[in-house]
Order: sequence, then structure tokens, then C-alpha cells
Amino acid sequence: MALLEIKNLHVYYGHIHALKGINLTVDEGEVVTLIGSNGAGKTTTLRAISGLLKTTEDTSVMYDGIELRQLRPHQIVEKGVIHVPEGRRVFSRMSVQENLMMGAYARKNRHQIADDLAYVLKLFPRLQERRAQHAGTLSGGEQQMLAMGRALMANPKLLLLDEPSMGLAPVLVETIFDSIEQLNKQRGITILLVEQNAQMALSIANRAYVLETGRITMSGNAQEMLHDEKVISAYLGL
Amino acid sequence: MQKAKPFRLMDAVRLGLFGGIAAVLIALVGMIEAFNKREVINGVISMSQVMLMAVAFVSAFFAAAQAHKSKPGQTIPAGLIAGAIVGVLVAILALAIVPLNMREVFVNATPRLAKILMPQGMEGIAGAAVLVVGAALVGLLAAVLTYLPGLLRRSILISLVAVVLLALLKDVLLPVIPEGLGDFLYASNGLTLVGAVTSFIVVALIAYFWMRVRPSTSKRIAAMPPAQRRTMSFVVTISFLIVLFLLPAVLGSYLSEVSDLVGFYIIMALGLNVVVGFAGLLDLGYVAFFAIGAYTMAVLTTPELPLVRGYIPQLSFWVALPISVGMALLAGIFLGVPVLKTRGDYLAIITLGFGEIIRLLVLSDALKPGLGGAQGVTGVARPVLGGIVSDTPQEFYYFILISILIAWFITSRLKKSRLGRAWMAVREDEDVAAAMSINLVGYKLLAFATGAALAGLSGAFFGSKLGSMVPASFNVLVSINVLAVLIVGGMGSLPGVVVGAIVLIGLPELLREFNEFRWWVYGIVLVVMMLYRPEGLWPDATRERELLDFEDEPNVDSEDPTGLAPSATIPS
Ligand SMILES: Nc1ncnc2c1ncn2[C@@H]1O[C@H](COP(=O)(O)OP(=O)(O)OP(=O)(O)O)[C@@H](O)[C@H]1O
Ligand SMILES: [Mg+2]
Repeated sequence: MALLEIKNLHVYYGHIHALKGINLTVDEGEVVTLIGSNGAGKTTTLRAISGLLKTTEDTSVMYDGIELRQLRPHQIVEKGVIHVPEGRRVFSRMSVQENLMMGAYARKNRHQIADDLAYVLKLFPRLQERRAQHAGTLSGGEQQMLAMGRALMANPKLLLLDEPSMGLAPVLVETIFDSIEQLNKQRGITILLVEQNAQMALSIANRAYVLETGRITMSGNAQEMLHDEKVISAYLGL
Repeated sequence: MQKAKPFRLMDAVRLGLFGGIAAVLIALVGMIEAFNKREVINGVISMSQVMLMAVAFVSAFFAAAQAHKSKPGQTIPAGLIAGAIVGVLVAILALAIVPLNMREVFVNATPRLAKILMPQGMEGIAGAAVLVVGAALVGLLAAVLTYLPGLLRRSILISLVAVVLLALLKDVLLPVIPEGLGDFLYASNGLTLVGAVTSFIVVALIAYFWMRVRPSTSKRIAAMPPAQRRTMSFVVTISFLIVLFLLPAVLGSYLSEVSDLVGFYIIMALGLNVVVGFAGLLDLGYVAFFAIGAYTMAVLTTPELPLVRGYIPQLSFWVALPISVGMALLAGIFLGVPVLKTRGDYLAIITLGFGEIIRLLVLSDALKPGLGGAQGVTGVARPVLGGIVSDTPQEFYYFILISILIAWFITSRLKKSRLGRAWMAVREDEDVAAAMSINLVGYKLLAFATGAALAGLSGAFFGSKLGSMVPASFNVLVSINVLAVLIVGGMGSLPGVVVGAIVLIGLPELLREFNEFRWWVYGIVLVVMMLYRPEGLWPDATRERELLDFEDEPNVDSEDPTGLAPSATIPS
């Protein structure tokens, strides 16, 4: 059964018609990637799902049997849909530890929180070393880990990742993608991954969608897409 | 940055020129003449001379300090040159005033000013020469100071400032200190020579030992077992409170009056601290809630305003007080709902507009029957306790003090609570805060309403204390002042609020006799603070302490792999 089912998603920024009727599904336990060039509308899609943007009336965003469009952003988070925004937005004047605990803000069960913290610190040992450091002084890669770790502290069922590889060195990109795979495999977290690094995204995803100027132009099995000529010439730059 | 360019004597010249121009400006705006009446040390040195020397001193000190860093050999020449150049510029001004007849442009450039600038009883080239040499000597003194160890140097600087303040505040302090001490310290005008020297030494010693022992003491306190530490902070708090409660007996009515004014600002600033410091919402119309509190108190308790009295009976102070706070709170919510969806600059402008709207409403003729219009409202009730009407500044001091304590308690609790964490997240990044399931509108409203309620509380007491109210008391400057108190004190810090209010509200009030020149002090404090101590006088340190605690914890990992125990971040 589809965990997330988006039908006919339209978003306008004033007169700009940024998303022109997107249909997209993510099944439980899947890694689905949404690839596309700059300005295609990837970030807009994620922001619409997490309730940060207004969508048109005929849009439907069903998640686990609930219409997300009726909920406010913080209520959507409480349902387990956690958004890791573009550009590593950590709380720079809080420590790493405080950032992580902020992720668990809405949760009550202290034991589960402690377990999740231990898991995050194991997944990203760098964070363990730098727990007391102010997040603003972390390196770009560490901040990305922190942003993901913080999202994990919210106990996500569906994780929305917006370009986790942006601006990172190739080695770090590998690390980040490894951890995304682990999250999916070990914790069973469903992932919707927005990426420009199509090669990496396709290699870990089950399925993929290609977004071009607000429309889905292609979709299908990620492995097959890796070998699709159109995708290769447009996004893999080979 | 400092290493990039080695020091050259040209730098000393430049600093001297800066200082000299500053000194000339101070003289031309009339400040020197205004301060000339006052002596710092009776018969020895006047306030205006101290000001000129201070300018030379500061220029020379910076020059010498710069030289000391990269070319220690040039320290003394640097100080001498910078000081002398200040002297040269002042001397040129003194010589030029009369022949050039500068009065047409600078009204304050009178022959009298020329005389004041010159050393006592001298004129012409001889006077100018003495002036330059004197300034150079001041520069030399500043240069010598840079050779002293840091602690000693700082004690001397603090003590110099303290002596000048002591002299300035003579009229304020004389009535409240024991007579013997008063006679010892003060002459007919300014300090006695013995008094000045003694107080200089005493203050310097105190400052020195205080700075000396503080690091080790705070380390020792940190090393204490938590129970003992708690007992100690309890004892310190209690003794501090006792002092606060005994204070009015010593202060006398004038100082109590000033304390009351500072108190109004402390309450307001504690409230605005929640809005701006905790939640990061820049509110420039904060005075509106102060006005609403004050006017609610006035309208509900005055015997005037027949139209209002036709509908609402005249209430007593204590009944009107919670209503005033409630009205301000409601206003906060009503304004908050539409406004809090905007961010940053837009929020600032909207709130600014709201503040003006409230002021114009109470000023308007249309609402005159209800709010008194431009004449305002008089006959506002005073608090009555046990049949006794409280109307002296000392009595109000207690009400204000209690209000401050309540405001302090509430806001410090809020800060440490879950709510405080959420506000901090909203302040740092709204979108991400929303992604942490923080209800943005709800939490912002809460901050806004808390701030508004405290402003209303302050306003209610303010209205009652004044007894009458005019719209002019509620202009935008109040909002700006409260914000400045926060910034100078240290955004987000509660003790900072108190320090900021004393420095920015109390001090100018005490220097009232210097008229508008005291606002120079205000401006200079703001500029200097932002350049050299942008975090404020008493910055918010809890977070740093949290971090330190973390590192001190020896085996975080073995006992508690999550590290949850030592931190305060667990949602409860
Ligand atoms: N706040 C906004 N106001 C107006 N237009 C916007 C706004 N945000 C995005 N857009 C426009 O909407 C389109 C989609 O933007 P979006 O940020 O979703 O792209 P993206 O696919 O995430 O791009 P990138 O890979 O560069 O992050 C772009 O044309 C962009 O200019
Ligand atoms: Mg994007």
C-alpha cells in the first residue's frame, strides 16, 4: 500500500506556476528519488508535502490514510513525516547535543529518545565526538549529518531529504548515502530523496521520478533508469 | 588582523588627529563650557579639563597599545605623539576662536570657551605651549599604563572612571551617605583632594582584588558539591534581596524616584526580552502595550471621564491592576494573530506602526471622552494597602521591586522550560523549528502575549505612580529605549536587562543637570558597545556553562551512553 500518494499537486508562487500537477507515490519501506535540474521544483514538492506551502484545492496529498493538506506543519511532523531542508539548516547557536534533542521535541518517551540518540551517534560517530560543540562551527558535512541526525530524533516514518549531497566532497557523499541506505534497511524508514547527484541517488533508490519544470516527465525502476539513454544524457552527464 | 600591518608612528599621528577632532567637536557643541562649572577635584581640576584629558588619554592609550603589540620600543613615543597632537588641535582652536570670530558658524565658540580651553590663567602662545605639553604628559601616562600587567591596568582605569563618576554624582550621593564621609569626600564643588586620592586607591584595590580572586572563586564554587552550591546561591540570593528591600531607607526620595524609573524599564525589558531575546521577534511597537496597561489603569480608576463613568464604575487600584495586565495581554494576542505570520523586517515595521496607532488613538479628539485626548487623564488611583495610600517613590519602589521579582521568576522559568527551547529554535530557524513539530504561530503568540502582559504590568504601575497621564509619554522612543537596554545588557540575558537599565536609564537620569549632553553619553555608550562588546555587558552565559559542564563530565560515555543525564535538554 502506498504510504504517500500525491495526486495532481499544483503550487503557485504568485503568478509562477511552479508545480503543474504532479502525481507521485511512495510505498512503505521504499527509497524513492526525485531527480531534476535546478529550478525543476524538487524543493517545492517537499515543502508542499510538509505543509510549508499552500497547494491548490484540487491537490491531494494522502499519507497513511490522512489528507496532509488539512494539517499544519507541526501536525504533519507529529504524524512522522520529517523534512530535512535544503542547505543544512542547523540551529547554529545550539550545541550538537541540543540540536539533536530539539529533533525529539514533540516526543515524550525518554527511553526511546535515549535509544534513538545512541543510534544516531553510532550512525554518525563524528557527531559523538562533537556533541558539545556549537553547531555553527561544524564543517559542512558534519552539519549535514547533524541535520539528518536531528530528523532521526523525531522518529520519522517518512523522511524527506532535500539534496543531502549538496556541496560535499565525494567521500562524504558516499558516507551520507551509506547512512541513508542503513536508515532504510535497519530502521525501515521510508525515504523520499531529492537529488541533483542522480548517479548516487539512482544507485540506492528503488524507484525514481524525473521532474522537469514542474512536471514529472519520467518514472520507473531506479536501476533501469541508470541505464536509460535519456536519463544518461540529461542527468548523468556521461 | 592586528598583525597584518606593523605599527608606524603615522598611526599614532592618525589616532591623535581623531582624538583632537573629537575634542574640538566636543568643545564646539558647547559641552566643555557646560561642564566647566563642575569641578572633579575642588580647586585642582574641572570636569571640562577631565573631558579634554580623557580624549587625549584614550587616543594615546590606543596608539600606545598598538605600538606595544608590534613595536614595543615605540610605545612611549606613540603615546606622547598622540597626546600632543590632541593638545595641538585644542590649542589651535583656543587660539583661533577670537581672531577668526567663529561664532557666526559655531554659536558656542565664544571668547569664554577660548579661556576655558586654555590652562588656568594663561593665554596666547604660552598657554598653548603648556596645553600641548600637558596633553603630551597625559599621553605619556597612558603609554606607561600599557606596560603594567593587565589586571593592574584595568583596576586603574576602572578606578579613574569611578572617581569621575563619584564627582559627577555628588548631589545625588551627598544626601544618602553618612555626614562624616560626605565631608571627607566632597568639597563645596567636586571632591576634596584627599577624598579623590583615597577613593581612587580604595576603588583600585577593590577592583584589583575582585578581579584577582574571581576566577579562582568561581572555580571553587563550580567544584563544590551541587547541594552546597545550591545552599550558597540561596544564601547569596537572600542577602541580595534583603539589601534590595532595605535600600529605599538609604536612598532617599530622589534616588528612589530614579530607581522606580529604572524599575519600570526593567519590567518592560524583561518582557521584551521574551519577545526579542528568546523568540527572536523584533517588536518595535512595544510601547503600545505599556500604554495600554497605563491607560487601562487610568481610565478604570480616575474619577474624571464622566462618559466612561456612566458605564463602568470607578475601580480601585488593586482591581484595575489585573485588568490592565489582562488588557495588554489581549492586545498582544489580537495584534499577534495577524502579524506573526510575517517575519523579520516586516514584523518590525508592522509593530512600529501599531505602536504609533495606539499613541495616536489616545491622542485623538474622537476618543477624548473615553481617553482624555491630548490633555490626558488625571486622578489615577494609587495602591492602597491596609488603608494607607502609597504615593511616595519609596513605597512604589516596593511594588515595582515585587513586580520585577515576579517578572524575573516567570521569565527565568520560561527560559529553562521546554517552551524556552522551542523559542530558541524558532529564533534560530523558523522552517526547521516547524520541522521539529513546533507550532510556530502558537509559540510566537505565547512569547508576544507574555511580553505584552509584562509591559502592561509596568504601564499600570507607571500610570498609577504618575497619577496623571499624557499621550506624549508613550512615543516610539520608549520602545527604542527598551530595545537598547536589551542590547546593551545582553540579548536574552536576565541580569543583562538589569545592568542595561541601570546604565542606559538610570545613569542619564542621574546626570540630568547636564541636559541634552547626557544623550551624548547614551549615544557613545551604544556605539562603543556595538564595536567592542556586541554581546552586551552581561551576556547570556547559560549556554556556555552548559557546554563547560559537558566537558567536565569525566566519563559521560561509560555511565550514560546517551549523555542525556547531564544536559538540560530533555523534554520533561
Ligand atoms: N519563494 C519563491 N517565490 C517565487 N518563486 C519561487 C520561490 N521558491 C521557488 N520558486 C521558483 O519555483 C521553481 C522551483 O523551485 P525549487 O526550489 O522547487 O527548485 P529545485 O528543483 O529545488 O531546484 P534546486 O535543485 O536548484 O534546489 C523555480 O523556478 C524557483 O525560481
Ligand atoms: Mg532545491
